[in-house]
Amino acid sequence: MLFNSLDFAIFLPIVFGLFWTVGRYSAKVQNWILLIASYIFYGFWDWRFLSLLAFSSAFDYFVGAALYKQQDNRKRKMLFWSSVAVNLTLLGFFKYYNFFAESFVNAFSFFGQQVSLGSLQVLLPVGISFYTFQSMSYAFDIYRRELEPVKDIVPFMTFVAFFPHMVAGPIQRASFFLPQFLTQKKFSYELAAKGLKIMLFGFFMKVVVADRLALYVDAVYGNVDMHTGWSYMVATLFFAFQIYGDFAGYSLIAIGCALLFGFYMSPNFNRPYFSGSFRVFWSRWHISLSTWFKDYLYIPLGGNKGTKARTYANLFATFLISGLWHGANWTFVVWGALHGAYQIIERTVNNTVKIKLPKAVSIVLVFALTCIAWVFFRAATVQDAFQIVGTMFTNLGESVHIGDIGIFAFSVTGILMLLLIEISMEYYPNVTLLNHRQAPVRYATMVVMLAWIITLGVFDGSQFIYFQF
Amino acid sequence: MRKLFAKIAVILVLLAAFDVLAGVVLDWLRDHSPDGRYYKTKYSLEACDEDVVVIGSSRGEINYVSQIIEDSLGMRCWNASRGGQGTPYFRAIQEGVLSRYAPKIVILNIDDNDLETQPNYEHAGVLRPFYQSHPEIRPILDKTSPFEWLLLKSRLYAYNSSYYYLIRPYFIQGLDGKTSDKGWKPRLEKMNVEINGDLEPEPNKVPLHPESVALFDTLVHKFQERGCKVFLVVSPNFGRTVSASSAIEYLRKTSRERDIPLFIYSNDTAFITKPGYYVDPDHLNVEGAQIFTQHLIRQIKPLVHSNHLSQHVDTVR
Repeated sequence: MLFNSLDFAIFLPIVFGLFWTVGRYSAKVQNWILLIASYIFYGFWDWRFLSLLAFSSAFDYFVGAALYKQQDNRKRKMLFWSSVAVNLTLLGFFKYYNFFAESFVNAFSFFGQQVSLGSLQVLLPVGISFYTFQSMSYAFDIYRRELEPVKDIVPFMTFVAFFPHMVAGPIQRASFFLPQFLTQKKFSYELAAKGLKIMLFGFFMKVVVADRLALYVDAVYGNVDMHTGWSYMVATLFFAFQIYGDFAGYSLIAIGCALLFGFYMSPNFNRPYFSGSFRVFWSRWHISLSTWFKDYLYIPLGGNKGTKARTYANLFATFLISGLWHGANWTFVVWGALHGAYQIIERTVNNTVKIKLPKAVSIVLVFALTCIAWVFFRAATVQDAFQIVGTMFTNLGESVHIGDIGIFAFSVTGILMLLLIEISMEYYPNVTLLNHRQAPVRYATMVVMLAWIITLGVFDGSQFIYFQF
Repeated sequence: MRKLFAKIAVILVLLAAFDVLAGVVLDWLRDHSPDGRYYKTKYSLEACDEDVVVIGSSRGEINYVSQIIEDSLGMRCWNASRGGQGTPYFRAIQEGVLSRYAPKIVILNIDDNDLETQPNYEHAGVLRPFYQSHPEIRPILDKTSPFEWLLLKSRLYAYNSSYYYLIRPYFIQGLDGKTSDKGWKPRLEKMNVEINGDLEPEPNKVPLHPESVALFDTLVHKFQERGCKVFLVVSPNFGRTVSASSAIEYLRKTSRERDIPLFIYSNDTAFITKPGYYVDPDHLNVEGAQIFTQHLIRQIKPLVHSNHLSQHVDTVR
């Protein structure tokens, strides 16, 4: 079920009503309602994969319990690695089998050897990368003795499957999020109202900005060979805002939706395109995933505790794996590698050159380099990406593809609106219309935003980009 | 919780009021449009009474010169085609026209896409502003989504994404053809490409889409049932021969079975090899459209009063 679907518009009020009426007397009933609702939500895509979700959750629940009881370090390690192995095997099989099989065959044929590995018609379960990571964090936290296991399996299963964030995050750390399922929720008007306002802005980012931009971006990136460098530049700029609107929009809807049920989630985006460095960028972009990789991969690899070379190697490896996590395609690996390289270069330059660029220049520079990396993220193949980047730098051409001028005009309007809102949030945080002291201003803002969504949103039931990851 | 619902109710009431007010303004803009897309659709649904009606997508809109048809046949002509549309839109326009009168002649410009791909009801969403005032087109638009009938209670939703084309004619006129062009959208540019070597080979056959075929059958059947003389035309593409696609074969079959003349220009070298006739590989420019329309009407003219139409199938040189 998609957030931007009528199914969800019917589903959410029903679950909300049940949760706060039938479930209001006990945390147990509340968890059962959310668990059933989450499985229905997920089952709308493909009910067959519910078993996978249930298996992954149940396995980590039992590993967590065993880990906690076990005192022998060797056995604890074995239990911990069994959780990692099972989750990564599920992820590896469903998401990466064909990718690795194909790459293996290609690598051999490059050296003149013919190897045959059958490709499987494997359907990618939606959100598998998110819920396996979420589930794994439980075993991690118990292994590191940062969390006690839950006694009841229902809160744990609900924590993994909680519908607002199950399919595309934000990935919540077990130690932060799971305890919230153990206490009974009391309805709070303030929380619910805040949640609805956050959801409203999320829908604006998704249907007014991201889905509108997608129409242009798809037209250009879907026809590599046919466009000028200028067109690729515009399409890439649009894509930068499309993916931001899409994913940040989804995250806001998820966070707002969780608040409706009294759950707090950590934020996932913090106006990343105002970053003056890549280090800052990654503390503002997909924060939940960056934190996950930092805590469960970068630091266990040694983090920045070793030599400079070792730190850089850890950093690069983390970004490479993060790239691969995004999708079974070399384009994502190159994207990750580019961001790894950006960070290493940035650190090296900062350590050697003592010149500080003006903030505005740094922001533009980081944004421009991020856009180059986005080309690899969006292109269908690495060859296409290189061709696009090459065309942008060597053959700008004389014209820009506009396509339908109405769509183009609304795309630009969407970006400008988003920028205006983000600039105000970044530099004038006290200017807030949605939370204005005076009720008429608040009401007017909400009505205008709703009207804007209805009138300029794209309602073609488009998927969120991050569902595929 | 009561407080939350009360405030949501207030916002919804305010939104509904805003929607109604905005709807009044938007409907006024639609109804008084001096030309452009909404003028054209409104005219097709509500006012056209010409003897000859042309229906098609962008190739219908750009390739058929209404004035030439009028002058040659001595009948009034309206080109009701619209770019980016397919069989769902054609059917909706048909319902709008037939609810008022039956034209004497209907020229249907059919592309391969119209029969080989799934009908795109979403594209016919450009008709949403007319949903409330035109019950006859509702069954077509209701197929866009199960709750379309409910969503279309909102005027803001009905005008979703339409503002640019709704407002433009008030500032710039004639971009979608002048009113005096009677639905034809002339394109002045000339394509700057030559054929390097041979024509593109016949594309691979794509199976027909049953839903599109059913829509097309209904389209033809309903016009014939009302006594309209139907002519099927396949427009030329530059540099590409298409003569045996599944769609064209189906058109041939329809032509034979229903006694309808069919004119296939997609393999006519007099058109497909002349870059000077085109604005892009799929659309003719003014010169190409004039020559094409003249040629087509020369073929059609003797058939207008004929009772044995099927003899004239595939009349291309």
